Amino acid sequence: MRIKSGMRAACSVIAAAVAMLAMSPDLSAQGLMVTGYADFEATVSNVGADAGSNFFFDNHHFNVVVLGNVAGDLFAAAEVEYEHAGEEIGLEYGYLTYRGAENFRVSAGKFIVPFGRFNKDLHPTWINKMVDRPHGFRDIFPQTYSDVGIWLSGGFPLGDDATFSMDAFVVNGLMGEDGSGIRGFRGNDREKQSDGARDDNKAVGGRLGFVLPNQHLDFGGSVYTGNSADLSTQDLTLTFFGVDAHYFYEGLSIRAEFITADQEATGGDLRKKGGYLQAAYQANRNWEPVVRFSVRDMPGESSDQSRFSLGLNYYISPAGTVRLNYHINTEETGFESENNVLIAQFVTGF
Amino acid sequence: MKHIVKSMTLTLAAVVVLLPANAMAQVSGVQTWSQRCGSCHQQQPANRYTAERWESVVSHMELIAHLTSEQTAAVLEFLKSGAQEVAAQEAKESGSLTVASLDGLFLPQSPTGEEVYEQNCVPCHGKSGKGDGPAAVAFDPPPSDFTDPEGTKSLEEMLEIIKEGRAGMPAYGATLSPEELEAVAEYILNL
Repeated sequence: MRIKSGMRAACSVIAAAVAMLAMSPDLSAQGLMVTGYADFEATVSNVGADAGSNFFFDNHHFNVVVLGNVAGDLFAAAEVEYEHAGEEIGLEYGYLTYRGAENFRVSAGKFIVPFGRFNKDLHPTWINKMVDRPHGFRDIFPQTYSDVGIWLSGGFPLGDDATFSMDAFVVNGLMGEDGSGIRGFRGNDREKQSDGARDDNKAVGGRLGFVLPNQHLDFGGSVYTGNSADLSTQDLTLTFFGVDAHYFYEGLSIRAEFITADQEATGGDLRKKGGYLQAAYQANRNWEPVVRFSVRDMPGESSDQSRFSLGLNYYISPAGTVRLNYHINTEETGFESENNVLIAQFVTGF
Repeated sequence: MKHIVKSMTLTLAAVVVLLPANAMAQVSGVQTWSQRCGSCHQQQPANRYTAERWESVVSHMELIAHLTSEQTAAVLEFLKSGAQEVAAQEAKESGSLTVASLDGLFLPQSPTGEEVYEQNCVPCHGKSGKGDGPAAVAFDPPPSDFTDPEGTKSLEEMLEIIKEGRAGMPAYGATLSPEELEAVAEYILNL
């Protein structure tokens, strides 16, 4: 998708407006707070393999979040991620949001791209009801995908109790080598500005959602589209579609998401599909069993995978949880018990 | 693909323009907290943060959970009403950048009925139990007046109401232990 001078002008105007707000005379760090989440995992992989299983400790996340209202209606949030005991350090997001309009917000900076629910809302380990991500949110939609751009969002009343939610964004976009794996497309490579790719080709998309609290239901649909490779002869578009739904009642949570990726490539277009269905029931204040089935359908049968996961959560407190998961992985070639994984995790928000 | 993006943009614009800004009935903070916060993660107790920090947290969650402005104001009022003022004072004295309070992260082993009541019931029913808490205005019918002799309940009836919830009051059967339920029910009956 090629969006040139008009888009650049619009982006410049909004960025300038946000910058002016940020430079307002009463700018001061009011009510900034430090919060975040951390976890510790013990994983036994290749359970049952002849060559023996692998046992590994990981400090998967120690992520620090700073957020607060910095001046008037200007809000700031940033998350610094220390992952895998510090081997991966980065800025997950850092943005400014103007909250002065009724029901409507404008954000600029680096934010988690609002596509579906797992990528933006559910992936933090103290929120995610299982230890890791489901199929579909690694090699298809590259969770956690955050990018630099402008994000419009809002929640609007719809009748007596329902709300309508919207997200719309324009970001630099996922870019990578023609036909290669989407997960490697993340990053804000400014060097690519030299050939015009980053200047002119932005990705756009958003999510429309509905929340019906009396029906204990919320659902929505998402789209993302943008140029993913800039060749001299043609642009190659990458497009995601997603649908999500959640039923929540009296401790029962049933959640599903399904996504597709259409990746144009000179060697033949690639279509990838994936998703999950998850059910959890909090029987009392401490115990919550969880089951999840997730699947990915990739070009080439050998890449297809499915996983059935069993989990048990013990809530020490509203923010601290011990989780025990067992993943039964199935390849396209059939059930292979040596691929199974047992994971114990302690996670807390702080 | 362009026509899909164009259609989505037009739909968004139409909905934003046409939706009445105040179409929703009076919003309840405790209901919003129960329904919207609790649908994604464990509900955090109101005393987890100071009132000041709840402003930061709720501003963030307004964006993430797509709350309407009215819902944001209502849930913030509800949470601030239960926040610990001691921590707020401490935050003001120690400067602008402070680590979030760990209060509420680990629950006390055996809270008294009064403690459970103050953490969960005061925002709506008020300290004296007259149904005049700061969030009471959002309820129709209003929260029960526990001091009204006409509304006297048995221990079993009170336990049932607290466990199951009613008329906009969230159910606490899954969030309070049997000991806490009994303690708070007895406390209420003695107000």
